Amino acid sequence: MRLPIRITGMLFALIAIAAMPAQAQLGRFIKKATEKAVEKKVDEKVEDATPVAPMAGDPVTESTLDALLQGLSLELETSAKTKQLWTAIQAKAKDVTEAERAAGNEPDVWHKASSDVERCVSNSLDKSNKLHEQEMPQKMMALASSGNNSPMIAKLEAVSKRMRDAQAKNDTPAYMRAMTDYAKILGYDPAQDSVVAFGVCGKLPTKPASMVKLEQLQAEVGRLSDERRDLENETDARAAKAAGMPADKYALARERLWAWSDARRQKKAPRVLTKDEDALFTARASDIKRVERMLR
Amino acid sequence: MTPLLLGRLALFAACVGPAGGTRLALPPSRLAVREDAVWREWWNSAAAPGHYPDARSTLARVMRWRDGASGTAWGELALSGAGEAWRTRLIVVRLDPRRVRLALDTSFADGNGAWSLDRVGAAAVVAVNAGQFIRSMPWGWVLLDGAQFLRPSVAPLVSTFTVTGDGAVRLVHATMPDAAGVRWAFQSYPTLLNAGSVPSPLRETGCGVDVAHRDARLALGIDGSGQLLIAMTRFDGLGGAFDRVPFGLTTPEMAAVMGALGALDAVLLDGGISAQLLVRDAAGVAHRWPGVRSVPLALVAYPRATPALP
Repeated sequence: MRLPIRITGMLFALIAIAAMPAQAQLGRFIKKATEKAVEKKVDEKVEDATPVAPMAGDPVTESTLDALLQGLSLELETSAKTKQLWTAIQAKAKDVTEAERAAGNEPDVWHKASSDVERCVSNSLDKSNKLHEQEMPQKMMALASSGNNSPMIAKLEAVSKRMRDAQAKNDTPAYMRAMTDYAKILGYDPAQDSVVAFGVCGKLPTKPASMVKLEQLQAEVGRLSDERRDLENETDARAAKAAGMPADKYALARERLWAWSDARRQKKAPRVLTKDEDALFTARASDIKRVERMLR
Repeated sequence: MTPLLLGRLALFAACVGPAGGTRLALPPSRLAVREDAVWREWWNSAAAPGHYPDARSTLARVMRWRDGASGTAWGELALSGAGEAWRTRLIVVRLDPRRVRLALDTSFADGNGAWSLDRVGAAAVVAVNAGQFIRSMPWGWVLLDGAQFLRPSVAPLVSTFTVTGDGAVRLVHATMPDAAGVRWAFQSYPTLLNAGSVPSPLRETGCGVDVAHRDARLALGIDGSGQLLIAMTRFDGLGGAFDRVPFGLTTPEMAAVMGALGALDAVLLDGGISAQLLVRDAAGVAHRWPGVRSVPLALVAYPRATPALP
């Protein structure tokens, strides 16, 4: 049985250095997405202007189209909420950009100071880990040769199981608690190593208020974006159900109708569809128009 | 877009196998590559390798690499399902993460994904759509310049691509990677190769992944020397002549392609009508393989010397 002491040390370093050096650029990047101007193309070669391969999935028939239109009608019900969330995301991203501007170089100064401490702590933990690794063979020998080591081995196995379970659930706090217990059974205390390291290196600098605010706003953008994504996800599932189609078939049929709609908007022939589909969609254009905005 | 829902089912794929424990084989298929005007078969579903050590990089050896900007290289191969009607062109780009600076780009118009090759600026040497997406939002974890845009998802066939502040790249499978120092990240699925091994749901039928579905494919991988590989397939048929014939590669075939290109780790990206790729050659000319659909997220490589962020 091998003690993953090195990992333990690293985990505790991560606990101690809870905030990773985010670059605080989220607002700028999301904002840029809506505002970035297209740069002029100077010299380029289009290797494959339009993929003309037939699209994946079965061609849409009259009955599939009826089902699809039902699903798209249901999607319309959530479109206002989706749009509202997007407006909120944009507004919050703008706040992030302003907060970035207001913070000036304070985040950079904080990151520099904290990374100096991190480096020092990391070196200190490395030294502790090396020491533990050197002591490990003796500890394991002593354990193996002791008279009744069954209870100890049972304890180690139980903690190992907790570690595996936590890893499977991606539960980092539970994993780290198990790691600590594992190390303690073998006579180490990774938390104490951390305390020693920070004693030598000093504490991490306190985050300036501007950074705290910035991170709160970034988290808010993330929360709203997650909410919007969840809503789309849930709508997908409900729409497929309303259409009475398996989710994958609904998605494929929806994509084929999107291709037709997009080609029509661009006044191009929908070359990725069959002629029969094109004829069907054209004949039902007025029905499709009612739900077409969901396809964009 | 390859319908996301197909993939979502695959995320949790677990091969319980039929009663009696008999494994169901992959649907019969073979892959051949054209080499000096001769088609040479290099993969057969009946004898598909489960592991791709470097030595099996069959396609990498056939590839005639062309020089791209900033140490990138790219090339094309013609693939065929032996004896079948369809043809597939394989476009492969190789990037050295030490010589390029990788970043993610997003684009939304009215809340919908709006990134396409038209947004790629003159400084970019390679650009490709990244991850998968639901309607308008990227799927899974998205980290933009160190800040979390979207929360992560973890499942057995999910892979996470990360770029650290110093430019190191990783593909981590089925678990969340250590976020320390990570500046850019996105997730995708299904995993095609994990340390050279093809995941078991891609090696047999009935394990939750549709191993028969054919489509235009796009994949991202990392080879044994740490280079990034992007592989995209394009239909090579004769216009509408094959418009009812299944075309493109299956997921197991794409895993084989990545393995044969030398990738040890690889994941599928959004293919189908979303797939789009730009490569700038050594002379500065941009070669574009556009997609039909705009997407919300892209991976873009810039020369290392470029001082400012995009």
